[in-house]
Amino acid sequence: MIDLMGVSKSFGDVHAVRDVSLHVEQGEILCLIGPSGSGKSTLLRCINGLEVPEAGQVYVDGEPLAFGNPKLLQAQRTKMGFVFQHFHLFPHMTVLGNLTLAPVQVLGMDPQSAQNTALALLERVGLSDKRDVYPAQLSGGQKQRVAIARALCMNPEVMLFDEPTSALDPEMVGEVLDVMKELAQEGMTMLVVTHEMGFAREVSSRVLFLDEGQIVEENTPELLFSHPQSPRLQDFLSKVL
Amino acid sequence: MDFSIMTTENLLFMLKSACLSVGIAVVCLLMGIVLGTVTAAGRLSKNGLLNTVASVYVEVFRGTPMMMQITFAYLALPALISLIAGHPVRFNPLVTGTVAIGLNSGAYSTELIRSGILGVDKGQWEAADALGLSYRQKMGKVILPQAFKRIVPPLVNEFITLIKDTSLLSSIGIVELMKSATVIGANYYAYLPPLTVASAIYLTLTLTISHFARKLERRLSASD
Ligand SMILES: Nc1ncnc2c1ncn2[C@@H]1O[C@H](COP(=O)(O)OP(=O)(O)O)[C@@H](O)[C@H]1O
Ligand SMILES: [Mg+2]
Repeated sequence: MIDLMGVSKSFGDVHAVRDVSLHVEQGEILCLIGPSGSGKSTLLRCINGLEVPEAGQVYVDGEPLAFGNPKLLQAQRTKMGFVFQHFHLFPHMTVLGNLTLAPVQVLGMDPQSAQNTALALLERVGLSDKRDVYPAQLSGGQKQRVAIARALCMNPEVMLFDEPTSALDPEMVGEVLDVMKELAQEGMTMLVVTHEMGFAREVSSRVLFLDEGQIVEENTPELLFSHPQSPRLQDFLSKVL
Repeated sequence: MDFSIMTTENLLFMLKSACLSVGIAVVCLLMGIVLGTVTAAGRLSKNGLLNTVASVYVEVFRGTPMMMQITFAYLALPALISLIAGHPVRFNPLVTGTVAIGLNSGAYSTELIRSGILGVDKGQWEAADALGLSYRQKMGKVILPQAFKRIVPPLVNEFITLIKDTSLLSSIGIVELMKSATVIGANYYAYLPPLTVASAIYLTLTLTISHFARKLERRLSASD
């Protein structure tokens, strides 16, 4: 469903991602772990075209991301939901407004059915009572659940999460992870950059360890956490576990 | 101090002239907003030519005195055009002066609008992109509504500046508030009363507008 072929991206002389290739099957749940600055965010952002790789190609459903064709790129992006560390809800719209904007504007859904979808998703993330509230009035955990619902409103084929719980107070991490676990159980394809090793161990089908812009090691969570091969992963795990 | 020369007739004359000042300022502000929006789009675009044209416009109008621009437009430009056209050309002072100030205001508004747009958090642009919004949808639904809040307060300040700047048009014979005061002063050989009244009118106008500006600013920031 998602393929990366030799993707590289640098900022000035910082090589954030170096020649990464990756194949993601439908229904897979991939967790990306690694030290800060190892290129996890950049890699994830290359997948939905927020960063333009300088080398290599990203394929979505076998189609290369169409950087030269804005219309096609937009259509490709609607297949991928993206959840940011800092939520990035639209502050001038209510929760419901945040959820219905893209379905109405981009997918051309009629406002009523967009609203119905939005309400159903709000119920799923446990925030039905917040439909008419502005983001500023929500807690961090609530904001992130709204952001997840906003991405789900587009009915994406895959969800990309960039450290979705890193900006949250510890007591709110659980409510967001619960929503993500539920999504995983329903069979959603997910790529999750995370520092929550418990989540990675419990939910993922595969864990990738990134360091210095490269996938240093990948394995099932059981093997990766109990038998890390490379010294760099051993070192990393000794610090975070 | 003899304020008896400020007859009802003279006061009405000054108030009418004050209306002209405000009228010119309104037209210049609107011109500036339209021009500023277009130029800000140019400054933000990736097209090198558009970008250069917009930058040159902004730098020229911000880098030379407004008095020079007005005088240039009224006295120098007709001479240049006469030369090209081969027959004498005269410009209407009111139109010329208004256009000159409007162009100047456009240069300042460009920067206000541009920085208002760039001031919107980068995450908002990315969230809109990630949802598949087109450039127009992103600008129209996400970025501009948020930029608007940042742009309106400095535009009100620009309006206040414009009201004061219209006094420069007295130099090309337009009887706006400033000119009306010097006309009365010259008639009676007494400048203190009319200039005092004119100053008071300017001050009343600017204080009133900034009062409403503060109210508006509070309302705009309330929804954050
Ligand atoms: N927009 C950017 N401009 C410049 N450098 C960047 C930018 N984004 C990321 N980097 C650099 O690229 C490297 C990888 O960053 P990132 O992908 O954010 O790592 P991670 O998410 O693993 O912490 C870092 O050295 C970071 O400083
Ligand atoms: Mg990151």
